[in-house]
Amino acid sequence: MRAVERVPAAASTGRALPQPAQGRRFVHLASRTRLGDLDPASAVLPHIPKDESMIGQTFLQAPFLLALLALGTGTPEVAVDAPVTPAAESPAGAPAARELLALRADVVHLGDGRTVENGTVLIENGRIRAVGASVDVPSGTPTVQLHGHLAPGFVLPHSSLLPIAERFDATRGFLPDAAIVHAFRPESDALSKALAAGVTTVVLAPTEGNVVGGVTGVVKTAGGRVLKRRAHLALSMSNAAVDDRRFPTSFSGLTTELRRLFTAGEGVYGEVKSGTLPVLVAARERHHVARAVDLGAEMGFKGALIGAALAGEQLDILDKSGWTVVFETPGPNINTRIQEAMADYAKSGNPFAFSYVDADGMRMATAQLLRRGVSPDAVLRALTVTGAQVAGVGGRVGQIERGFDADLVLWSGHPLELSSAPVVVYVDGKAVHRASTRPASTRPAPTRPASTRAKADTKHTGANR
Amino acid sequence: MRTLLRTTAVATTLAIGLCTPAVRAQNNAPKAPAAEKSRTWTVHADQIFTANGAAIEGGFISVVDGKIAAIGPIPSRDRDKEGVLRVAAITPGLIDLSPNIDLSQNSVEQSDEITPHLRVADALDPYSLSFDRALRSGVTTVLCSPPDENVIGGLSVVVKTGGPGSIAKRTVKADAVLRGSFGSQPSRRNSPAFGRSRDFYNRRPTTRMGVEWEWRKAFYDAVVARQDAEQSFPGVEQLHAVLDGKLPLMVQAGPTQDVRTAIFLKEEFAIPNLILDQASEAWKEPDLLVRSGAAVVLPPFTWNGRVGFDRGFHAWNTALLLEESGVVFAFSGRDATDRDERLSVQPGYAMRGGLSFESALRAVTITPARMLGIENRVGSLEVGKDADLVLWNGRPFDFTSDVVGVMLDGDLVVDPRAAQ
Amino acid sequence: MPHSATRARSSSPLKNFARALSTCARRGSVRTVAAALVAFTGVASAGAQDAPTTPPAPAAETAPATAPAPATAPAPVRVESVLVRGARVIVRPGHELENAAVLIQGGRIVAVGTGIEAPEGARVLEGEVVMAGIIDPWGAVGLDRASISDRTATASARAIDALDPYSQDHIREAALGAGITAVRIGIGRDGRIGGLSALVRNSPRFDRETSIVLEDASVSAAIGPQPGTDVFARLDEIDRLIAELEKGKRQLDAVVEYDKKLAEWQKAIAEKAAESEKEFKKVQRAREKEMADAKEAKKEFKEKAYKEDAKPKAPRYDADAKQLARVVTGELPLFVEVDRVQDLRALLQKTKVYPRLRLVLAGVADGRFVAEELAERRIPVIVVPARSDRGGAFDQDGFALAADLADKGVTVLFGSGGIDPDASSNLPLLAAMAVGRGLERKTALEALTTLPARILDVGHRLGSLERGKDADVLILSGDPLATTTRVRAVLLAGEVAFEGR
Repeated sequence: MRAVERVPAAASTGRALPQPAQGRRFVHLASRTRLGDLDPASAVLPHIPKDESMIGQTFLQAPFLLALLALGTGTPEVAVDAPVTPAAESPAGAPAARELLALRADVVHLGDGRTVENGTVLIENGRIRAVGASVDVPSGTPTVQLHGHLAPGFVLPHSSLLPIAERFDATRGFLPDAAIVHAFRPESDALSKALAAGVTTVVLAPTEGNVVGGVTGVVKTAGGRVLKRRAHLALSMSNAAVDDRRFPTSFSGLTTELRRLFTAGEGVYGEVKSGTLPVLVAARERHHVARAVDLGAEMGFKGALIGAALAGEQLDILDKSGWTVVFETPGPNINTRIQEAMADYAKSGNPFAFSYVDADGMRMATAQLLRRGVSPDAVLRALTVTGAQVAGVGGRVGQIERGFDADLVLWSGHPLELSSAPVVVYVDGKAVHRASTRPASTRPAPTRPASTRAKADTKHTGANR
Repeated sequence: MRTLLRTTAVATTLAIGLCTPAVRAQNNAPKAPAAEKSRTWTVHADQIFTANGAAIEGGFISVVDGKIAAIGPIPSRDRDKEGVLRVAAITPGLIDLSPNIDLSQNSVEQSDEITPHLRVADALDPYSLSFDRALRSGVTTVLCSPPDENVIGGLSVVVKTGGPGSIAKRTVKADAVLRGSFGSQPSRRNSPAFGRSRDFYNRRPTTRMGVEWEWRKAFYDAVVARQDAEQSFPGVEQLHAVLDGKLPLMVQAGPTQDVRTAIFLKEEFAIPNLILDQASEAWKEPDLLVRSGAAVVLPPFTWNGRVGFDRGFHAWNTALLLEESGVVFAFSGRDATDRDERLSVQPGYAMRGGLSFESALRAVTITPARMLGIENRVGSLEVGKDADLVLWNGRPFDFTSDVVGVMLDGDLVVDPRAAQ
Repeated sequence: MPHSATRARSSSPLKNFARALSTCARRGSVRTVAAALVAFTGVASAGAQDAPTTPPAPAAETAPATAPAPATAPAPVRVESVLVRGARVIVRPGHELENAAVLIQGGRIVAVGTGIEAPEGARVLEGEVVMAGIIDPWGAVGLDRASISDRTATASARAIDALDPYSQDHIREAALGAGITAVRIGIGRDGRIGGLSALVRNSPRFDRETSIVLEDASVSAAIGPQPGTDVFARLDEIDRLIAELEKGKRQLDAVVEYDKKLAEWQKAIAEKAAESEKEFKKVQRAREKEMADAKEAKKEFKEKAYKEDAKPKAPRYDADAKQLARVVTGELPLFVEVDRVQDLRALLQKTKVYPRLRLVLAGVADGRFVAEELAERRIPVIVVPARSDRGGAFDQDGFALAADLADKGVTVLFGSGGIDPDASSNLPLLAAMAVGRGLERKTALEALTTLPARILDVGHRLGSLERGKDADVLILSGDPLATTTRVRAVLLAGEVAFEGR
């Protein structure tokens, strides 16, 4: 419960920005300079106060430029503080082979429930090399001081991101050989929206309209890079799978056919039975879930249940069953019974994760769980570690840990606070998204230290000892 | 006779629950996991109707781990024993072969009329409130069948009406009978699909004759497929099992013509084991029934004597007529229109029609159990059988009596003490 | 609870007295004057026993208070006291006290401040954060579905008659558990005009006194509430709404006209009477003569008709027009659900002719286009952050709407949308989401508490923890907008109505 107490404190009091460490001098460059106005290529800087004579020099130094480049170009309003580095310490240039970047943040959530205050994440070639309170940062490494909470990018092991036409075939109930990674458009707007919400990895999955929807894929939302082409076999045992217009039209027909296919064990069904291909089973209502679990026990497979809104009422069959529940996140208006059941399931200690429809739905669902007493650690784990495990990319994303991809999100407050917002999203160590804040000038002056998004300014420091 | 609890003192003791297992389990609840609920009980009753011989006056049943461990007259030293449930009468848990259990929304496989290989077990919703309703009215075992919109719907399953949220775990007998339907229901509202959008009812058969044709064709095809494996089709194994007498065939056949059609089919293909469901007018063909040896499940009685879509005539004395003819019959709680009646009152109506208490009791307990071949587990009160008990506050089936307690596999689902 | 659930035109006893006196003067009856006097003294003494009805000066809050001794009554009714202590007491948004307490007696807040001692026998509750109950100005808790979308409702149809206080208990409990203490419920969304909305407390047990805060919180209307309606159909609806307002205006004019004529008539009668008095003998003689003449002519005697005998006729009673007249005068606010930009513009344009109309707009998905006018005309809006499918296809972020409008100076409230009773319990989360999109925390808190209370004219009773207000108090485990915060307890009119697990 310590974390619970910490959350509102950090988020609500809008505590003062940490003071720079002694011995380092910061020169305020230009208040509210839009980094987007800066052109890193030409390094022509507007609004530089004339009297800060050393600034020009500092800016032209390689590490800072690197840091600037790393932050991308579409960068909006941030206040920039540039360090004044003693000339003697300025490095000759960044090593070409190793691309290093150090991120320092007020709080670093590792994903598994642990947090590090004032932690540093050292990134090498897009992967995490080290994380901790005292990380040995090689000299000359560009270091970015971030204010807020740094958390792993969210991993959602099921999504309905793509347009329906890319996920659903109305004419056939069984499409075992379909692979959704062939169908999706990587520049999809939905992917960039997910990225903006701090979701860095998703599983693209077919709809529940097909009994066997095909093979899912895991992609990163930044540019739609495919992490895994064959992640799961997507099955559906929910109402939508029994369509009046094609076989099967009944649960009896559906289950009998699946039983026949798994018994024969050819192709993907054989892979599932041998354990090489996990399953995602769409099962909304309680009887769908009961049927899926029974069939799984009969045919020898286990996996994740997508939907299962009332799983909390079914702990007699789901507790320690080996199945993971992936809750749907349709939006704010989830009825009370479902909210309670979700919370009961989450509190039971059984693994769960979330499905992605849109960012607001995802965040509201997590908030509703927290309001019902589920610990923030458990919810954060569901969004990161468990999500990655269900997605089948558990050793690679979903944690801030040595060897993992540097997919990180800087939040203005605790990542699960609704009043927090993602500020910068890093994927593979690159800042690929930056929150577009509304112009500060039109906003009334806050009367209290207040709004956490006021902390959304990022400070860049140059070479760090 | 009507005494529920001998003394108020006992009632108080029970209420405080110094040593009743249920209360002990409750007290221990925080420590012991919920799964370890006690299933060990002693029940005393003024009368115990075992459905397997004479009634026991002043008897007890001892239940250990969900099974009946002992049954007999109460030993005199135990008469005032504490921690004992006391009721007026006990019967075995009732068995309904045609219950009104809601199937989930999509339970008719419309892609074919003949689907003998489909299992209704795959379409059941263990969380359906209709299970709970049946259980609370004393029905502990039900035969759930596929809906009668298909000519041959598939395999029925015998399940307990309570227990874990998994049909597999509640199953008493999987693939108990092959279920199909004669008469108007499979063709009801069907129409050819010409010029219309496809929907549920745009399909064959559209007539009663068509239904019968589908039946005969299915069995004919099965006979052919026995000789020629090339001619095999999904569900042929089930039809073979029916022909070989390994799987009983249960058909819905209400009015006289359907009863006759069903028996003619049985005789044409020499089907050994036939059960006629919702057979309201079976009493009109007693000779045919006796000749064929088919068993009958009667729909619930009505006040005007008419049941089902075909308005079959089913008076209160039909059960008596069947009994006198020597036809094996059971009662049920549902007719073709899904009218829902309590099974526990059906014997009462039949007794109004002249049936004896003993026959009426058998028709909701041991007879249906024998029809399905599950009499080794349920259907009567004997040592070693499942502890499925119905606890009454008076003579069972009297209209002034009611079910006050239900025990399922040793779990006291409805507590008679709560009714006090 | 001496409060009446009906919106009193003047809540202070003094005003009542003045009104009674003026009525007396008009009727010229001593008896009514006496009755008014009796009524006044009665009310006044009741007021003295109770907390003052006017909001106290802020200075009083911090003053350590002792239990106010009942001034006059020798054997006072024993009032139950509750003391709520909080590490952080949000008296009202922007005014917070640390380690303070709220003392509640007889369902009202009698003191707020630091160093308040618990009176003997008082129940003491403690929590991290203590604040006023959240008001959902646009909800549906307790209403049956058919009434919500009723087509046939008229301005005088009352939501209170569609309230089933015994249904939806779990929803009410969930809303209380989220800190929502009062909900404005309205009916007749699909009708020309919706009728009288009510402001209802989420009391777990229905009790008319406490459960119903206002029977006539507002008149409500909806423009094209069903998605996909044609723009002309919607503009037509606006015209019909304006026609309803015109009806109210006519009624108002008729009443004013009638009052004027009545006064003239009364004056004329009085003058005539005085005149007759003066020339009593002369008139009497003349009348006697006339009577005699009539007798002689064997005719029926007829009293002489004076023009003053024609008493002006009161306007025909029309319950709808009466309520609409209250809207036109600004006595009742008019809540209009309107989302699309064309509708917003038309509505704003056509309501300009009613200077006293108190318009509150609900939904306003396309509100960004008219934000300046909304701000200028001080028209408050109720935003439903969760909605994204209402306005035109401008692909706008519903959660950012509140912040965008607030930036332009528009008064923003949060509502749950008036359809789904379940949605009320999400209100604090939706507000937090809006904060995440840039709304100031203080503004968000105001939008949940003080603003709805003020706009519904119950600012003197609800919305903040100030002396004299009804004790609708939340005890929270943390900041009201923090996601992890849980509601520990809720007091409704001083009674513990909800206790969290």
